[in-house]
Amino acid sequence: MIPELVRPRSVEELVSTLAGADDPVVVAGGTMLMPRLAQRTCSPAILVALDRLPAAAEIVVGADGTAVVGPLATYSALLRNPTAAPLLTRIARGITGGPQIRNQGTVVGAACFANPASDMPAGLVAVGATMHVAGPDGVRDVPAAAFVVGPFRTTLGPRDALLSVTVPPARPGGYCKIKRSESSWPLATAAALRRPDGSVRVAVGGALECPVTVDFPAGCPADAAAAWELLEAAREREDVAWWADELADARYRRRIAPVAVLRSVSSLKEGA
Amino acid sequence: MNDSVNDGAAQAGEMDVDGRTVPLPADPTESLAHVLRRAGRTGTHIGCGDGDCGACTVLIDGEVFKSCIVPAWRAEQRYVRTIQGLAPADGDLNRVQQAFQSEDGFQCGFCLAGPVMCTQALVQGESRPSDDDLRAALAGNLCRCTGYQQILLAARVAIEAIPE
Repeated sequence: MIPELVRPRSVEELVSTLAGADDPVVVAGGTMLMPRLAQRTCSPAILVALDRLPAAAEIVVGADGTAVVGPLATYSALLRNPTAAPLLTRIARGITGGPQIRNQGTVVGAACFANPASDMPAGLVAVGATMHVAGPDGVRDVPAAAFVVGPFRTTLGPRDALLSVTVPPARPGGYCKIKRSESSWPLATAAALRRPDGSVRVAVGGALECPVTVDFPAGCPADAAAAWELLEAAREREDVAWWADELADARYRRRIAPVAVLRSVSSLKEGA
Repeated sequence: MNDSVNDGAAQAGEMDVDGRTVPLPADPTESLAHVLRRAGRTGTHIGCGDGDCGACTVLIDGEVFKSCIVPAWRAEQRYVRTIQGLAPADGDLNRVQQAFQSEDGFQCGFCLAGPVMCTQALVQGESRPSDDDLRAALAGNLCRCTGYQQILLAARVAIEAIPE
């Protein structure tokens, strides 16, 4: 069955399209959706594209330094605007797949795809981003930390679409991504941000079902064992399991996650 | 893709492929790679179908994309350039193609559109890329034959003509 393609030009049109559809599939960049459509593992009746929404591909920085990332803003857009959300730009630089993927993949799409073994969900948690979701009842805000709820699962309902992401004004950040090879998804990531009181907050991704946040009041963990203790405590508190897939099992990810945490805090201190 | 519209040759429901107008399919699940190949641009290869290998790489409005994961409708009224659209005239090779030929930058040629189109995108830039830039530009391409060193050598020769 050939699906209908709708490319709404306004939020109102987007909301009414989604409300009137049985099982709409929303598409941003399309890097993960297209193979599924081609292989027919996903056969929607209606495809709703976000690319014609106003300012869809833009990153707009306000006077207060807050950055609004549109639904079609790609990793390359982050690279072209390195001061808008520096930690997200740093993450974008290391996205697997070459410039081709960075030109097509989007922040919004990556957040919605919520692959545990990916970079952007934890990055958004680290910077304290706000997700703007359009749905049948209007537009609502969801903190990034509450957006991804499990592997490949977000708070989006079947008639919701992620419109944009707002990133608070830039603060110094550090990042570490551990992957086995150039072409691989990450096995563990850590995004570190220094807070005004001098403490450091690290969002760990790649290794868990969804991002987990660890706070280091003294600014840094003493060693991997200290990082491990706090990370494990946070993981239990948030009731999140370690992730396993064909790239690495949970045991391996558990071993390397504290190392990623340490390295992210080091890179933060180096101002790299 | 950026928002620039091509010179108006392609209308709604069409795209410009290597200077020719090609209609878009009715099926929005069709990838750009499939449409290009049906239009005769078989130099664009489908190696994996999920955006890993890069053998399907094309330029859209001057930027590289893996066409097997680009929905064809995203290329509406855009200028798509394939590996077969690089040469200025029949039988001639452009600078990048010439470098890959003279430096043995390929063996079977199946992956060739990846390294060549990514190098082409670099060559179109204004400043000479560093070696790190070059490696980053090529990192999305998989090759089973060469071991990658010959690809790098060929790409370095191609970018040599760019002023520093």
